[in-house]
Amino acid sequence: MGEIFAIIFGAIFINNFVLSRFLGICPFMGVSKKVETSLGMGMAVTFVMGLASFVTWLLEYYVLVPNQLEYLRTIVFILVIASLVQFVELVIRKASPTLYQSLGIFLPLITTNCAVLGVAILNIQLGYNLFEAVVFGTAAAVGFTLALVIMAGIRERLEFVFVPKHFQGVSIAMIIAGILSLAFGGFKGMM
Amino acid sequence: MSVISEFSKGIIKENAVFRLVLGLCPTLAVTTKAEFGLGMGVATSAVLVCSNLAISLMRNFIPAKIRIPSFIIIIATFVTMVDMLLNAYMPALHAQLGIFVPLIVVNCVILGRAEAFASKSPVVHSLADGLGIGLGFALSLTLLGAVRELLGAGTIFNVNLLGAAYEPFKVFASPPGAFLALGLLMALVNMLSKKYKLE
Amino acid sequence: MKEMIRMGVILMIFCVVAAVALAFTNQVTSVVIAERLHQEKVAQLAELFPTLTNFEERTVDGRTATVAFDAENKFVGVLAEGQTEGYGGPIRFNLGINAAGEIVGLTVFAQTETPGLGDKIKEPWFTEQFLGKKAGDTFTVDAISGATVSVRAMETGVEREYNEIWQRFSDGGVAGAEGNTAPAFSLEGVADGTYTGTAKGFKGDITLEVTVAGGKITAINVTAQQETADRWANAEKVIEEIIAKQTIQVDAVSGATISSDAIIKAVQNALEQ
Repeated sequence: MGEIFAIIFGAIFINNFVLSRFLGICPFMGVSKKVETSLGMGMAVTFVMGLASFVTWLLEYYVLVPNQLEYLRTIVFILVIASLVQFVELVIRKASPTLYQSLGIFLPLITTNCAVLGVAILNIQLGYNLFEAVVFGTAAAVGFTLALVIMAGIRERLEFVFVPKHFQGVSIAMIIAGILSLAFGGFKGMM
Repeated sequence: MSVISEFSKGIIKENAVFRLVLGLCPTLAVTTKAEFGLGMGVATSAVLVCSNLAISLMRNFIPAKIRIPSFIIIIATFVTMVDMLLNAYMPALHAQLGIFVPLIVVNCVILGRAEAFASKSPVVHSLADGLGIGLGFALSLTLLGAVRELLGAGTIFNVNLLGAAYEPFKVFASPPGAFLALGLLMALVNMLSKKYKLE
Repeated sequence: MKEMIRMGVILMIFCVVAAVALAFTNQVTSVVIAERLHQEKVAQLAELFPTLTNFEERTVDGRTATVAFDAENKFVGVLAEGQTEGYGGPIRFNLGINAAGEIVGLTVFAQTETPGLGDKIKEPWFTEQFLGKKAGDTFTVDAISGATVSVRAMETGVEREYNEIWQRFSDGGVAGAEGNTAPAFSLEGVADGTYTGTAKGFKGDITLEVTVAGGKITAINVTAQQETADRWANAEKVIEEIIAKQTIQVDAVSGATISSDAIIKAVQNALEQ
């Protein structure tokens, strides 16, 4: 039980996927302008990452490894993820058309979110079993959502503050991310 | 547009990192030293050039409805090849770049150029585009790596430039520093763009 | 419909071409990679165990290691890979342990710690602090300022991997090696009575008394052991199995292989008198 808690806590705080592992930066910069969209994106990503962890783990250990095809991992994983995202897109369009509208182009872009492919590969590299892999994938996505929502909260307030001309846009967002990363760095000593 | 301008636009005007704001994950992650930035930049450029070439060659054979999966297969193939070749012939760089080599496949730069350019343009133009954007990407990563290495360790390409008495800003070698350095560089690039009217 | 089939076929063609191209590249590169790894391994082993003449990969309890032998085919040491989670990602190292259980080599070959800070763990002056350590020692070393997490990861990681590796390979990976079967056993010719047997466990000798009555093992009483508490709690289960199945051909308890095997050997010793 302690192990699982360590995995969850580690993925969300200690080695946060965005602020520490640098996975998922593009959507982090692109979507984090409003808290609402960030939450929606976060939930979609959480679902995809949990599901992707499950499917890719099975593929690795029941298809790739027994046939000594580990070198096909990248191509197989990314195709699986692309298909999963298509599937999630269909589900969201049926379940909540408003969410679908607000996420817009960012939904298909989950395919190119390095966090999804990254966590699938990390599960294999860290030698997790199926349960640990799904836990790690989901927790990592929760960490991603957390970073996204915090960033969105800050950027919403940024609208009312003076930002020097050249720093406007991504530049100031990067600097804020740096400060967030410093803050999260405080968790490092905990394990 | 002439072939030459297709090439040169990628270096500054449409620089992937500072102007298009694409491919940020590897940019932040591997640029702890200039040499790693350069290595990653070259690896990504190799994939970009190959995939632009392949996709442009086949642009009339790929049905529009399945173009994204097709692009992904092509790009992933080249990425896996680069991964294997690096592991065989440059193991130290391969170990340092780690998980970000297979992650080249989701680098928005490559898929973006395939979709926006290579699938619609002739071969020579696509090649030039790939080379230009790739070169710009590699230069950006090397620059960021050099800045972080200089401030964080006092060296550039392992050559000590600031003397033994320099107390490095260790933050620049670690994750927060990546964000800060890139943010500051972006502001600098914005200022220079306005000044030289690159908008 | 025809449209879909056509698209499906095109995608299939792409996949097949991709797979062929990759398989070909893999053929070429994997040979180079395997050769390089082999060379590195040979050089590594020669450095740690100077008397080594040959070596062999062995798997015990799911863990693979290279076991080294000298000219007389005597076990001189074991080299295995270990891993721990550092500040910036996994740290992988090679741990060399000689036949006396002392660490003779530690090399960090893959890490993504912060350059100039955490990545100092790969430097010789740091790894050398672990040399000479063995079971029961404290695995603490000097701190590196600004790299506490990396150092601590190494301390806990090296100790844990040392224990895991030594537990399986302290005898050269013979006992419990996959494919090994215990010697045939029978209680014939063993008169009723109580017999004492000893065998070397993980931390020290295990001594026990076996009571035979009416041609059956009726009791096994452990008179001395120095194993760690949780390992012993697991290994003790072997005793119940031996009595229940009336044979020493029982499986060792995973996670306490050496202790379990020692119990089995001790019982065997006792009954062979």
